[in-house]
Amino acid sequence: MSELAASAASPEMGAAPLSGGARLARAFLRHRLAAWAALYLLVLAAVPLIGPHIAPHDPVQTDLARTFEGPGSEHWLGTDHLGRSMSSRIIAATAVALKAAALGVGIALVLGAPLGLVCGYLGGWWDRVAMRVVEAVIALPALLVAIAILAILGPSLTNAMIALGIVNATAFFRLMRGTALEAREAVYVDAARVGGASTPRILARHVLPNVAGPLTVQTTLTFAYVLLAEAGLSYIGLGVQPPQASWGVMLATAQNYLHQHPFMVAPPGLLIVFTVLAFNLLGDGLRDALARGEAPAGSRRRHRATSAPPDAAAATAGAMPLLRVVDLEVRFQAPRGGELTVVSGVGFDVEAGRTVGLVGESGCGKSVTAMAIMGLLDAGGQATGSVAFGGQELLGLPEPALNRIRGGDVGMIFQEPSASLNPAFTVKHQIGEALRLHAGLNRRQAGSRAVELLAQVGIPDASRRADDYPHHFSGGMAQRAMIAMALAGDPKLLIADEPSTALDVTIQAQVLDLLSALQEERGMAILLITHDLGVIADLCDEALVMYAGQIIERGPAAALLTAPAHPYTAGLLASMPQNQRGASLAQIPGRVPPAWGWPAGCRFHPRCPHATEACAKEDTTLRHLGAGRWNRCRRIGEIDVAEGWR
Amino acid sequence: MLRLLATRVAGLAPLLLIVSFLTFTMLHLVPGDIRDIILGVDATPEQYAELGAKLGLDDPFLVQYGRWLGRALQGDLGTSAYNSQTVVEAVLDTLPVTLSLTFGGMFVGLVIGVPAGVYAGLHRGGLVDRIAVLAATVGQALPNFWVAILLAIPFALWWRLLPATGFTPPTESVSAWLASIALASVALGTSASAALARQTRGAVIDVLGREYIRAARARGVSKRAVTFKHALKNAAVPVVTTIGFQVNGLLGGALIVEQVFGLHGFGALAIDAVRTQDIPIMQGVVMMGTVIIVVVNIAVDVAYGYVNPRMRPG
Ligand code: SF4
Repeated sequence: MSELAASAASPEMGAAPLSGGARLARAFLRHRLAAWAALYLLVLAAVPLIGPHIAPHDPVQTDLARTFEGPGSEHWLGTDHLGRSMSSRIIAATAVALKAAALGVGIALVLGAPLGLVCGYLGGWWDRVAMRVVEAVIALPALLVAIAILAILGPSLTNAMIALGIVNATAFFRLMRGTALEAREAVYVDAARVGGASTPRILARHVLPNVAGPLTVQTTLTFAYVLLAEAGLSYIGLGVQPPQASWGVMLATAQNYLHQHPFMVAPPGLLIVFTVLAFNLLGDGLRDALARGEAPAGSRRRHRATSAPPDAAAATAGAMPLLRVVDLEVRFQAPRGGELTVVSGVGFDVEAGRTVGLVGESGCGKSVTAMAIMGLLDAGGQATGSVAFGGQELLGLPEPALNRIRGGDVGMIFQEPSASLNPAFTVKHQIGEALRLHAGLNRRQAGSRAVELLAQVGIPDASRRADDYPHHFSGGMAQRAMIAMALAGDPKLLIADEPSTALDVTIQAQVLDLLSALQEERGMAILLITHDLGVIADLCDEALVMYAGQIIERGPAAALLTAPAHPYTAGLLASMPQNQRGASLAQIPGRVPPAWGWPAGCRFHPRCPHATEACAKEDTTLRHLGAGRWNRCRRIGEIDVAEGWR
Repeated sequence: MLRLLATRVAGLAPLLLIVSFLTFTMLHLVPGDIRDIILGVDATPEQYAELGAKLGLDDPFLVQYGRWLGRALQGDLGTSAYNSQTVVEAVLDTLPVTLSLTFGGMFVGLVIGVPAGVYAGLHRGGLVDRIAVLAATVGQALPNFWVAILLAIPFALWWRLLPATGFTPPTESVSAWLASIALASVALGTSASAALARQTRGAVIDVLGREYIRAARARGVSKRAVTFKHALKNAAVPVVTTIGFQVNGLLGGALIVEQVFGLHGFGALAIDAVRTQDIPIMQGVVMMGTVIIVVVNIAVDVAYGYVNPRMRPG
């Protein structure tokens, strides 16, 4: 679904640009839980300050006449074995825990962060030594090390926090080192260095702003860890020492009276859980907000279903073509209710043995159309209309029947060949899988046939390479392997979704040549999806131009490319590199609007140099012009479509 | 696979060396004189000098470390400063408890966390997924020892289904052993399973969105086969890594949880060592703890190499 994602840029962005901080705050507030957690922690943070004033009793004041009282009006949470007020003790314990955790986290931060920053930025020998040490420290049993440090320093809360601080410093070290290392490689730092900025200045100006967010997240999460560890250490008697109150100490006490007074374990335990939970939620929320702040969230605006009239069914009379798509509409569930129509009224035929090109800028619905044909829309996507393959309706066909067609009569290859191969299985295994499914071969036969196929698609030394894992294949080789895989089921139709886009220019030509050679040899039809009109010109018999989810022009490839009849096609042609040798490229201003922002009337009108008022109001239909050419522009004949793109 | 194992073991030797050095250095920094502990307060200066010579306390630091390391390699980690027990003896005595709890917790974590994560990931957004995410979030905030106490109240105190204290070695009776570590393992397993469930869920969701899953579907592999063959093997990669991280936490948790059930493991040993400033014992426990973590991580690395072909050498 890369196209939908690409078109999912937030419309708010254009309307009211938000500052980074404001956007972050908004993203954060979307996490209601994290906001509540922050509020809870704020209240809790006040406890060390005002705790002593609101605590009704002295937390260490014993009253042996009133031990083990249940919760009551004087002691809200009752009293413990020495008659001390549980509520007062819990307030004191909370203050102790928070102060202690702040100390532990502070030590970790002060110890780890600057060192990581310097090591990462300077790199070299110091960095290598430091990294070895850090790796070793990470391999140490953290809590045991903390206890060992306590053995040196003696058991006390402060010492426990020093120990936990040391143990946790590595996380900050690694975080800062990673960011500094990245920044060192970054162009803007290079520029600053060339400009003569001093190292501390570069660190302060360029590295710290980048790391501030992740550092806050790490700090929050470390708080949670240290709180838990402090409670544990105090529980086993190595942290806070009685009679001082702490969550861990209170739990240790409560455990002695489990039989008689099991209630005593609840308050300190629950407070630990809530507080740790709050820190974790806050950390998660911050992390999410940061991720979103970088990549603005998609809009959740509803989209009214457009009532575009369906394109007329293909006019070819006589026998049913290999693939006939009629009035295809694809809708997606919008993230928060509502539906988005991303493809509407698309219809075309692919005759056996022919090559049809589907062209348009990214975000226009090409890939979604291909996925709808294959029945492989992402979750929440739904296709209506008709997709008939060899006379059989594919929409609504049950899975098992679809699985026989996918990879069988219809093969598919993708834009990112390396990402399309499963890294966990050998290339042979994956081709063999298709052969076992569709050619009924057993494992051995499939293996040797897979090697044959790899040789056929031009992989040198195929028998040896077949046993390689995909990560040993270059992009071009991986695409050849994908093609071999698609050929496994001896397809009548190959759907190729931008098969050469991700490859080097020379490799692109090779892959396209291979495709046309294979087509000639096997007589299969190809539905080629591309944004490159040059590819259409080289390979296709017919071309379909898509814009904003609709076909806007359709016709024999040669005719369509030499004499485009729609301003959009003309614009695409004008922006092709070879048409403007040396001169700057003509560009269609603006970009394909996202699916929720399709304008009324002609969907191209905001970018069209020929748009009139009528264009903005009245919906367009795909009209037959004769000679197999179809067009959606209402002003055809009135205008010179090439005008305005020079 | 053997070669992978060999590479990993060889790679970890220098690591252990650094760890041993760090441990030795750290514990060498203890203020005070170890002779005070061994000899007690009313020792004569002659006794002092004699013991100092015996322990080599006047030698340069690196010489002391070298000597310690040489002995350690022969399996001699010295003698407790507090009583006459050798460190190796003390550590081996307590090892079964610690190992039982650590791996018991790991087992519970895997058995609950991984299936829950897989199911939640496959049914993203569903009711079970939401519950699993919530449970995992809360689970990660639960202090193990508190969970242990809460479990002990009904199971050990009220219904007396399981022993509240004491450890039975598996060599004596497997069922009694299981009963003696069951509650502690479940308590330790809560946070481990929460972490594993989160990781697994995330990994499954990530993998399901990958292009190769769609490509597999496009060649006619059924949804079921795509899930169980193509997706889960890839999702296992980050999950296996998480297991490596979890051991450290589980070992730490075991130190504390053993105290809830009065088990005599590394926790008890370490606590006593802190109280008595028994440095040799502390060194032994830390080294042994490191060995446990390192060994588990070697196992994890091997498993990692199995699920992730990119990590295989050659
Ligand atoms: S209908 Fe109007 S806006 Fe649309 S392409 Fe034609 S001239 Fe341009």
